[in-house]
Amino acid sequence: MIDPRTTIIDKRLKKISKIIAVSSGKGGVGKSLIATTLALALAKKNCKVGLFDLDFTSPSTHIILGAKDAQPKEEKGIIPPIVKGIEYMSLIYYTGDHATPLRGADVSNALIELLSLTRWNELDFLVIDMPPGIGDAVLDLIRLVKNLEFLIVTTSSQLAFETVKKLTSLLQDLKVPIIGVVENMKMNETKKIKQQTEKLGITFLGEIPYDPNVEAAIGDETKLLETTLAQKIKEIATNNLIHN
Amino acid sequence: MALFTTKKETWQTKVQPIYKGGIDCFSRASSQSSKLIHHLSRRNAAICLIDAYTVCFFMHEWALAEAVIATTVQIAEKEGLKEVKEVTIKIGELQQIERDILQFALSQLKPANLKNTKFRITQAKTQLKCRACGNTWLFQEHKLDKNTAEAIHFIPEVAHAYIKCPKCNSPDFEITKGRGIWIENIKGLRQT
Repeated sequence: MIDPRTTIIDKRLKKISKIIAVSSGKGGVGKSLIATTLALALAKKNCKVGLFDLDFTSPSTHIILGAKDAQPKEEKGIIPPIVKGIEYMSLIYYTGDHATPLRGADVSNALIELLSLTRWNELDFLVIDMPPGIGDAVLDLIRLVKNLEFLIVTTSSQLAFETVKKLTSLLQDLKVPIIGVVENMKMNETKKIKQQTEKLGITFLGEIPYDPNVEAAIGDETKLLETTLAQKIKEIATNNLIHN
Repeated sequence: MALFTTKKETWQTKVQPIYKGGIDCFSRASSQSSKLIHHLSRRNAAICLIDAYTVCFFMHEWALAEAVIATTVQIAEKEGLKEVKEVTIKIGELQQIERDILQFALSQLKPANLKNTKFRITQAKTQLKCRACGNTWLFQEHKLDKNTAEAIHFIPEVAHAYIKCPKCNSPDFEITKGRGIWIENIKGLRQT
């Protein structure tokens, strides 16, 4: 028995110049906010951008983006709708508000299905909001997607960074490129995370201070792009992604 | 993609109010207006107008057919087949793939070196097994509304959002048989 779907994934992704998996070792570090804001910031810089929510059991980018009534179109596969200037794909189109408990094999199958069916246009960037940790989605994506690069999000907490070490170790072992580490929700002046990141031989992309205005900007891309979070992400994108 | 012709009255009352499209299609039309209405009722499919009463659907079976063709070509090359005689495809009931549309898409997509290849499509019933209580049951026992059936059609795993074990109400079940699409076997002649 042969699963024919994986053969077509390369073709589905071939028009995308850069695929960025926004990942973290643990949850609650602001990964989805950074992934969504990065996609919006790149789109504002006139890049063609897609955003793909792979956090199947806890999707949230649709709320951050304010993607209320968007629906994909069925046309020789699935065409993602344009939401706030971004081609946006999520399992949420099919699950709505229902809880969707998925085990590892189900995550893999849903991931393969979406990768094989979704027909992205020509894109400069596809930003992927990953589930936290080093579970099935991360392993499958590494297995199935060529030219994948990781952007890792942590907080200033040593607890978060310890899980980053495990994620970066896995990626380095598998020779998967790491764009760098972003320190999010920073509330102190210490350079500990920067130093530890550089000690691992990984680029430290920058610090994003804790921004109390972000919560009120959720669902409103104009407000979101005015936050300090967005300003910092624009800097990171300009310095590390756009000119490369 | 699939083509359907319909009677003038059906077109005016049921098709035209829903879709307006440009012309972007090829191949011949078949006369199956009942199937057309069936698809209209369950799919938000892209559609193109061929002539006055003929429409063309670009459905997601097309993407699955593309995957089957690409895999067949890859395996034929790997195995050194000079000719592929027959490909047996199994489709799981859970994904509700339209067999005629898949067959049509395969016939349209197959490259010259698969010109004489026969694609045999068989359907497998979907069996589910509860991980909590061990109960096994068939997917066909569920009466799903149109939107739910549509969602599962695209991504079968979203069944976990809508279906629960009829015995213990747990959503933690395994799809033991009949999920999606598989190539069961490929018959061909090896190069000598």
